[in-house]
Amino acid sequence: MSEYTYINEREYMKSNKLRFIVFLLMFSMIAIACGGDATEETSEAPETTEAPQETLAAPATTAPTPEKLVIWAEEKIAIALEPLVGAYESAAGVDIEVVIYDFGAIKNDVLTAGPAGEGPDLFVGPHDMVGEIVANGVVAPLDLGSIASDIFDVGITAFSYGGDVYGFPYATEAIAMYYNADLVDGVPSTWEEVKAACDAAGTELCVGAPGGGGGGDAYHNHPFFASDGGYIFKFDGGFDPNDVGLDNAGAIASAEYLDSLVKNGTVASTDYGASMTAFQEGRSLFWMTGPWARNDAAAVNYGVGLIPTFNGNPATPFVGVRGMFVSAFSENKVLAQSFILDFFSTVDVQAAMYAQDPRLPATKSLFAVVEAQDPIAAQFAASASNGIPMPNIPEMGNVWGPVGDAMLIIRDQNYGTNEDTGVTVNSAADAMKLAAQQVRDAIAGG
Amino acid sequence: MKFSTFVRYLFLAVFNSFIIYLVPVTIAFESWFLLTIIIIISFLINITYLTNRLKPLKWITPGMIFLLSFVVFPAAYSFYVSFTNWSTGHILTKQQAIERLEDMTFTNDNQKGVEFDLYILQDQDLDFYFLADLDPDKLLFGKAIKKEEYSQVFYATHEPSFKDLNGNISIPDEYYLLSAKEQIANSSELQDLALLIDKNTRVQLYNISVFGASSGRLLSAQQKYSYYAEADILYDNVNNLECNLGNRGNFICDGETIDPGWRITVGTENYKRIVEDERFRGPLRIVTFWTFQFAFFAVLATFFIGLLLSVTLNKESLKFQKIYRSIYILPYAIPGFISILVFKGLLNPDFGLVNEWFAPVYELFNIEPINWFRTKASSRTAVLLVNAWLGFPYMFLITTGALQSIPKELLEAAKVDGATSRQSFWRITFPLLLVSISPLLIGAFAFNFNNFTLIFLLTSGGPPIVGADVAVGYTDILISFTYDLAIAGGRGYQFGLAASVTTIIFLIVLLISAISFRYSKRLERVYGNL
Amino acid sequence: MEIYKFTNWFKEFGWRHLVGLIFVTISLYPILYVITNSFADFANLQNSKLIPDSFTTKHYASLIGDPLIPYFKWLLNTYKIAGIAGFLNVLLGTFAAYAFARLKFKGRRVGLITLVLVQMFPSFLAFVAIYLLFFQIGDVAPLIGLGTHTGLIMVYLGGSIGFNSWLIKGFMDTIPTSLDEAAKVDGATDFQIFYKVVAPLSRPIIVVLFVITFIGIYSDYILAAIFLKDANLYTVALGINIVFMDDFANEWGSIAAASVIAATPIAVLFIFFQKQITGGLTAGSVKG
Repeated sequence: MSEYTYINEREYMKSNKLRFIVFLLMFSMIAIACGGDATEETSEAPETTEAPQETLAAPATTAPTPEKLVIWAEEKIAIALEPLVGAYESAAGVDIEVVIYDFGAIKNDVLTAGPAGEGPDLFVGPHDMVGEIVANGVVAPLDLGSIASDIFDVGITAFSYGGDVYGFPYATEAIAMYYNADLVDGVPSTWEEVKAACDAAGTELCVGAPGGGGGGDAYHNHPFFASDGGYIFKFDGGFDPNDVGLDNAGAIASAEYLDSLVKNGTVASTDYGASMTAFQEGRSLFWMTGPWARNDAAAVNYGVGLIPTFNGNPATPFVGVRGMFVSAFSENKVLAQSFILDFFSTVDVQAAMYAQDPRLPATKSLFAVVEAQDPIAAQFAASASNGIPMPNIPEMGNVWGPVGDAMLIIRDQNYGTNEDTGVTVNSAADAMKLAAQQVRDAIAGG
Repeated sequence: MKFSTFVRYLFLAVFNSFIIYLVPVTIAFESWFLLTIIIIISFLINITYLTNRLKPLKWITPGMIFLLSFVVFPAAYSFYVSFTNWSTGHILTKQQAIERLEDMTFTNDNQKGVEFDLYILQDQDLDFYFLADLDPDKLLFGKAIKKEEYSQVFYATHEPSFKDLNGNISIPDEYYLLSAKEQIANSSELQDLALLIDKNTRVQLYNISVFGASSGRLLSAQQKYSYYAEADILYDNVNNLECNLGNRGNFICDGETIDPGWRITVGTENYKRIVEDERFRGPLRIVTFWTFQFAFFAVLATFFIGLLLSVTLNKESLKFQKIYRSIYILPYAIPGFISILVFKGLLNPDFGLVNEWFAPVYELFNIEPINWFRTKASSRTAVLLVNAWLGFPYMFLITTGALQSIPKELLEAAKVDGATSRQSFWRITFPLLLVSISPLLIGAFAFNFNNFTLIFLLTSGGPPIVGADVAVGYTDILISFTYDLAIAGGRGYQFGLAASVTTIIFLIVLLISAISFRYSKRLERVYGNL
Repeated sequence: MEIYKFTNWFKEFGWRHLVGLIFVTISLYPILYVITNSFADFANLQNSKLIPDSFTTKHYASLIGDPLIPYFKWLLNTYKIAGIAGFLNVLLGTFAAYAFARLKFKGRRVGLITLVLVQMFPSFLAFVAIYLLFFQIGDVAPLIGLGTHTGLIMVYLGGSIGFNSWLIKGFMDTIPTSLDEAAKVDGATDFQIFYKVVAPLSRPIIVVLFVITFIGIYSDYILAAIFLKDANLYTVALGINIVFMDDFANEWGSIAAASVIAATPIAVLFIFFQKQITGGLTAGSVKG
């Protein structure tokens, strides 16, 4: 028996070996065939765009591969750009590819893709990422030259970091005060008059301001602490992370004033959703938010005015600025710069962009056009002109949590001692001091 | 040779030749991640399918390929990142950082803000020349040269003859004026060229205008920083400073760290920070405890509801059985994140439908309407309730399927022996169910332990814990707390730190799961793996 | 007599209907809310209007006519990706499960548990890794790189073995090996036993897992966001997220309408599938 199996095993092994050899032969034949292609491919694979050598005194007869620009933009911008770039493409003889990137994700995408060599040449983004992308060496400075004089200061400030400007600002936005035009004629200039107007109109809520009701929001609450001398980071050519002004006299005074406004019912304790609902259903007389809400506000007959003053000072909302950046990893920075300076920044292109995605223009020339057509936009612009841009330094990430939370305490009147940390906050001043301390600790400790 | 064996060899041959084609291309692109994965996969496939042995692997390998590529590799990458200082200012490699630094230009005060028309000319040898129209008596012309040639001193000269009486540009015949399109076609080369005006100033093409004249800018002839490789030092040309290497992946000039820096490995520093940093301790304690609670109750709630429903409907002759079943999986048909947002609206304490609906109930019991999302208890309850709604269809589906697998004879035998339905449920059905479902429950626990989407969308971490050393909320679970740490703190973007927290979370989940699997092994032994 | 009948009926059927109806309400209520909001003029998910003040179909119209919102492409993309990925996912999982259930080899249990545990790694930074990896893949093989559906499907297949396999294996364990042996006597290979005996009998769990996987992929927008940048390639979840959602201003009407349209075929599919789940085998029905 065993001999039989032994012989069989040997034969089995032999046939196995045979199979193996046949297989190896087949495999190597195919491999060689394809390997030949592979070596050819390898020499082509790393692309180097060589500048085509022009023959003298004659334009190129055979078009070499045209220069290419890749632009990353959020959807509405991309859609606005697509039909327009055709004109530039033919006039300049380049290929432009517009890729849609989610606005909120563009910072991370650019930071990941750029160093990996897969980033764009140009990208559109918010100004508050400027510090971070500069610190990471992902963006190139942009000398706007004569165009800078046509841009509002707030736009230039927003894109400045370390003494250089890093992009072309094209749109600004800031919050202002919506009012229910059926019930009141406009926004009064002081908060006392606002309260009086609400009492007269008899609405359930007076001012629906987001940033309360459990939803902390430092962005919407900014005027409440920054209009009378308070500030987050001092601006002096650039934002200084070592100078936190959340607990200075002005900030505390404003915060305590807010506290009184909440206590007497002028400012309601609502988050964004509730304030929107209240305004839409006529339950609040005013709604303190930005131009993106116009479609929602249209549920009632609305108007827009300036946020009331604080101690005689105009309200200081946060201004968000959007702009186009040149990537530091772009292989053709001259072309990218030219696209912005020569094409994108022109009034016609900006106007076309506005038509697709109406935002307050950052350029004065376009703004004049828009202002005439759209008085509501003019109101938002007026509000923005009193505002300051959100600090664009990387340390700003430490601010949103603590400041939003502190304002939430005041807005929701959540005073008391916290059972888990033992920290006591009994007044608006305490809240602001706590926020300032948390911000300083976070920046220092990381 | 059998047909199947032939097919196998053919497939292997094709596959391997494909790999042989891919590898050089991958190397050419310097795609090291991809290369590693390709090598591992081809190794795996060849070993698996070459021989007649290793049968089980033949079944498992297809799925294993994807698991290795898209689950194991990212996990390994994440683990690697946790040992680096990847954060703002430290995302590039050292090489890239030096390139960025050397790319930086600077302008002296007298060069700032000077803008002028620039014309590009080309001669017979296809060399480029710049003609800069700085002002009426400075129409500078000269050869445009690369950085390396600066020392050869081709200074520009004033050539008033290049402009005619009307102010139009008229150049000698040996030169050709490039149109905008031609400038653009050559832009890659032109951007590296400059015209030297004097020792300290150069002219650079800045804006190629298709609609007008191109313009240039004045820049310093020197670049801002120069890197000296042998000494590993960065030299600041503007301030004449030597900048030395810091130990965090930076150059330091005169006490100031220069951006950008680069990524370095820092060993276990991130882990140490989590463990040692006083500021994290309190919040971490609260968050970890709540994460366990949340995951546990989430599983309990969804399992209980799912089981209740599948048992309720598990009667053959029940009318509308199909309709009930279909309705219970309907919540599944709406994408999860939309349902979460819907509930966020429904639970709005001021205007939401839930409080409106329960208004009579509140009045009946004379209690305040629940202040959803504003208090610790209400937020945590809300999170669990919404999760229950989202998760019970899954549990319902699984338990229904599993109930089918319980042999009917067992239950019939029990009935014959005189057991009540309740007894047969708890003594037979339920344990058998647990045996087959327990890994699911463990998996659901792990999933909810990391259920970032729900927390982020519903409460963003929930009512803040006032006075905590780092910003944290009452519904923050470990993973959302990690996210906050990553984007805030220091200069933001602290991925190295986040990766280390992620790894710790994984180890915790791993530990719990491993223990639970051991326990379910015991269950299996008792009740038999039928 | 009547009361006796009623209490009997209640004990056997009635309580089931009671519980059933309660949960019908709980399940359907938010869904109803979404449906009515899709017809509301000023759709707002934070208000207390189940029945809106004014009706409009403009949200649905915005999905059909607008060339900038290729909604029906999104639908097709979603069903295609989720269907293919779900099917392949379950297929690979079933293969692996069969190995663990039927083939005797050392370290079965440990191996399976390891596969399950590996999947528990939080995917927080995994997305960055996948993003980088697919950059590289896209250079070498653009057909499966970023911006392709194929690449996205491949990533979804990463979860194919693991949980799925464990569940299917558990189910397969209830199929008596006597069936296998009967087939072996007839000269069947492992593979034939698989597709003739074991797999068909595992249909209920396979169908269930297909549904679950399908839904998981259909709801995902994070991974899809990494891959898909061209609006024509979006899935519904991704499209809703990018087009209709903003920091503050979400277009609830369009979101609701988009969800309703996307969910309807799935709901119909559920009704069809649940017959498959329940009309299944019984493990002990075939004896020796």
